[in-house]
Amino acid sequence: MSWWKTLFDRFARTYAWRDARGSLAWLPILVPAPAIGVAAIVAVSSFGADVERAIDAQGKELLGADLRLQMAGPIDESLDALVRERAGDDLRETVDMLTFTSMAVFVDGGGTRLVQVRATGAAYPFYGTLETTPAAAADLAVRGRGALVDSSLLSQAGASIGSVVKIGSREYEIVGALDKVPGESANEALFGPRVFVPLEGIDDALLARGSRVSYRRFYALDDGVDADAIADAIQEQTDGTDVRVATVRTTQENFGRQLRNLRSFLQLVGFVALILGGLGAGSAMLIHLRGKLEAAATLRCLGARAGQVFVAHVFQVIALGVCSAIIGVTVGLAAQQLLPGAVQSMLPVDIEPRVDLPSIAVGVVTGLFAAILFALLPLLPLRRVSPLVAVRASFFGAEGRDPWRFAVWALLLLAIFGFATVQTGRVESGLGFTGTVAGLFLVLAACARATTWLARKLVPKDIAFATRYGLSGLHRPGSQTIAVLVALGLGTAALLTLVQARSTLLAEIETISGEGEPNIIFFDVQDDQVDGLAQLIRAQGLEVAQQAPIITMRIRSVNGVKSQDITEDSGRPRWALRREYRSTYRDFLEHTETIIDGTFTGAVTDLTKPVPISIEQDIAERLALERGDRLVFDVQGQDVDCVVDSIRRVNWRAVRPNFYMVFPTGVLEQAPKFHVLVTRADGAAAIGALQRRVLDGYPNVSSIDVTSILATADQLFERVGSAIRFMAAFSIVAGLLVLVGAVLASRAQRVEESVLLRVLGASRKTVASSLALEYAALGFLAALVGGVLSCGLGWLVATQWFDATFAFAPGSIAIALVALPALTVTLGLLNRKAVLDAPPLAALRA
Amino acid sequence: MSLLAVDHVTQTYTSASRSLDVLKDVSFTVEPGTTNAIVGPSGSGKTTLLSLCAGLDRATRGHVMFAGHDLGALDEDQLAAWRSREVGFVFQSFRLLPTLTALENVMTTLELRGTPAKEARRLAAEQLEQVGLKDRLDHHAIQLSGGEQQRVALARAFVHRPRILFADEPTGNLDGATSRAVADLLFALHANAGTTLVLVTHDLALAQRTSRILELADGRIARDRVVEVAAS
Repeated sequence: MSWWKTLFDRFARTYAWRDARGSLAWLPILVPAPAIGVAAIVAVSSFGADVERAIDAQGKELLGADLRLQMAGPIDESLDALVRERAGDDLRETVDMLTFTSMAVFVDGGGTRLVQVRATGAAYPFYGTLETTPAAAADLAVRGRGALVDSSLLSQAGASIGSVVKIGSREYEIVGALDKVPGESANEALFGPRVFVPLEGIDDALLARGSRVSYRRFYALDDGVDADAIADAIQEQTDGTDVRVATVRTTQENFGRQLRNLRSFLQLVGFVALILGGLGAGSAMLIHLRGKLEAAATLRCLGARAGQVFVAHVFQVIALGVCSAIIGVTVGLAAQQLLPGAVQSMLPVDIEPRVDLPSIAVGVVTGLFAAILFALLPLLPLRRVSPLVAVRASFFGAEGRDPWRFAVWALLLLAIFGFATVQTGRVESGLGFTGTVAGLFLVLAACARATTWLARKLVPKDIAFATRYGLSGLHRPGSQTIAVLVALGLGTAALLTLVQARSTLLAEIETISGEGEPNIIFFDVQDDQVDGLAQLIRAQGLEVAQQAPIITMRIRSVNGVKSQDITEDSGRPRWALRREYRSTYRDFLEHTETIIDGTFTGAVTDLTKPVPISIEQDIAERLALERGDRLVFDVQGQDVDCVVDSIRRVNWRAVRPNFYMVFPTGVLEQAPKFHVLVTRADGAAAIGALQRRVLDGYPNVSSIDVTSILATADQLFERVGSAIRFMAAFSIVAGLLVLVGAVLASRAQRVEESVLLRVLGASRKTVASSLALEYAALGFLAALVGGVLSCGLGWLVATQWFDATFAFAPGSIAIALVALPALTVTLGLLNRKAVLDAPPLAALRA
Repeated sequence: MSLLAVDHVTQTYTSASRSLDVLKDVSFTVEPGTTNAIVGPSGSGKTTLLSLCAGLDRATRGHVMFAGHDLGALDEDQLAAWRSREVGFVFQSFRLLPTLTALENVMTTLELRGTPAKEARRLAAEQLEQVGLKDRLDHHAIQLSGGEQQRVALARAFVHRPRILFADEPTGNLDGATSRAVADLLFALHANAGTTLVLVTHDLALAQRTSRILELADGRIARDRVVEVAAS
């Protein structure tokens, strides 16, 4: 009979049901681990649907208008006229906004802080509201001379409503704390706390040449006006170089894209929890089915075909998958309510969790598929079970390798690849994820195997019986040590990697702002302010570590081809060709720079020849430039013909102005420019005093205190980390459930052993000690494996992602080495009562 | 025609280091309706011979014929179908399916033959009543004594009226009194159903109750004798 006919076999169905009814005790062992994976997927998928729905519903609030023009300079009135012409009478209203970074001085002793200033009119925003405390403060601020200050900054600066903040030369009364800005997440305040002030009366000196001011104009249009068509017309007219146009649709697309990435990331982490759960269930299933081999062989003696026996158990696995899916969906829907809290700081929209049927379907299908695939491996031997097993206890059954095992592994990898590809939308990402997961599991399994091997080899033979017996449990036949170590180790590794990465980041920031290194950068310094500012710094007893002129420019052509005519096929990305470059000129190299190709030319006198410039290594690679290539720069309206004379490696980690392009002296001195000055001051008081003095004399000059970056990076990491921790918790819970499954699955074996030991004279205390020791060792090894892996992953993150030196965080590993064994011992002793209280006689008779 | 014919059967087990001839050129026949005991010391090849006769394993050389058909020519599924139709099996360690009730264990044999569930339930209940377990239909193996478990196993083996029943040490795990009771039941069921019996046993008293005893020694039939007074 062909296999598919067996799927409809009545006996297989009947036996599956009857046998399952008699195996209900295994449900709590086999169901929870995959259920937690399903829960993770349902929670994340439903949350993603919530976010998409919120973006759809709050599209206009995200932009605050129907259309927005944004330029680096004052809004081009011909573009404004184009909008007015296309919109006609349907244009309801406009409002302007200037955004720029500037120093804010909290006059009542709160110090200074670099902030993002938003100067706007009363009409902003057309949609949504500026949420403030008190609620009426938004109107007060934009209509009068009041300012709204990010609530977090307000508390950091020790300021309060009613106190005064100075931006440039103007003073504003703080009329409210800013809680929420339409279309912006709470994390944006970390990069630069926001201060809203009225557009009218803004200090013009702050808008001087060189300041990075963004000019925005918001348009409110009547319903039915095609804002996208207007945006297209503007893009056509400007070729998109200097102007950015946003509509509700493009804003939704942008946010949707960003949040899809977040969702994909969380979904993949959830999928790892499902894989862990599946592995755990598969491992427990192996023990369960070992006990079924004799029954299967008996059935074979009674005349059952191998296919019938196999299919009967497949039906049971499907039923288990359904149970896992139902429980997983229930838990997932509960977790969905918690997820917005974990990632709220990254979201620009308000989330209202709702039941999403497609997400539930994704969870159910993925969970079922995982449950079946992972159970197939232990199920396969049932296909080949010999009836002889029923006659001879010593006969194991099928011999030789089963080629179907490889097929199932291949199917598993294919399923992981398929899921990851669907989630990320990219085959490369799917391959990368599959490779990473497979690699991680292989490494973990190898570590687990090595540690159990070491436990066997290194445990002295003459130690106390309880210790020796407990440790021998790690490598007993049929033990689930490997599965538990892999599951718990992965979860632990995820959490510890997060700690290690954070430690690396903080150590890096401490290093770059450490002893002797510059820690304050003054920028937006005008030509006529350089000498005075340098004098002021020196008057404080400080040194000017570096002073650099900055000239903005764009690439006009590369090797004679206009940048707009260069296609992506050339290997030169559009953004690199069209971006604004901030270059400098000097006749020396900084100590953070090394020439790797060519020679550095410090000065030129003959302006009839192409200017020899030095290009930074990375951007040279991006632009596919080599020594001798020709570039024409548009330096604020003036074309400058250049030749790549040298390629430099730059240590970007140093706190000093670094540049992609360095020109020789003698070329750009007369170009419009601004300057950056770098110095070092020790102690918050000295830094604050210097910043105040500079601001008093030069209100347009902004400064960054590098040490404040540390706090910002830490806060940001903390917020992003909460999402990762939330998902890592699923892995840890899956790992613990695998452990609980392993503990419960081995109960009968433990009881038998305990009885035997007690019959032979072991006390209850000895048996209990050996049990506790075994689980403590399991927890310790899982923490060790996770810790070792986290060091490897932390090193990878540090070197490949942060481009930093890995900072080992031994404290977190030490905590894991204590906490995890405590947890595993607690769970491991679930069997304690049954094992210790089993009457020897009854157990021996059984 | 003989019901079972074992024709020059040799069974060799090969491991990495050596090969072992467990049965060496064994031949005999079994006539319908007879009772036969295979006896011999441990390691003489009794269980191997029983496994070959029941189609649980394949002979290295030689043939096992059932009603003129070579079992070696059947594939695994055909062998399973043959067992479900023609064979009953009783094990030393009872081998009741632990998750099923006594009634369901007995029904299993019938259902494997395609008997509808309702009919299987009725026949199984009757058979269990016949072996004295009318009140134990819904009990699981763990709730039954050794003797009761073996009686369920007998009911399961006889319920479909097989033409031949193989029993591997059917009283090996039972105490004296229970052992005798189970043996009585076995022969009573045989008499009732006319099933041919082939037993492997160490229990000489049990062997003496069969009509023929085959003594195995070192993989060969050392002696084949007819028991003059077979108990029934």
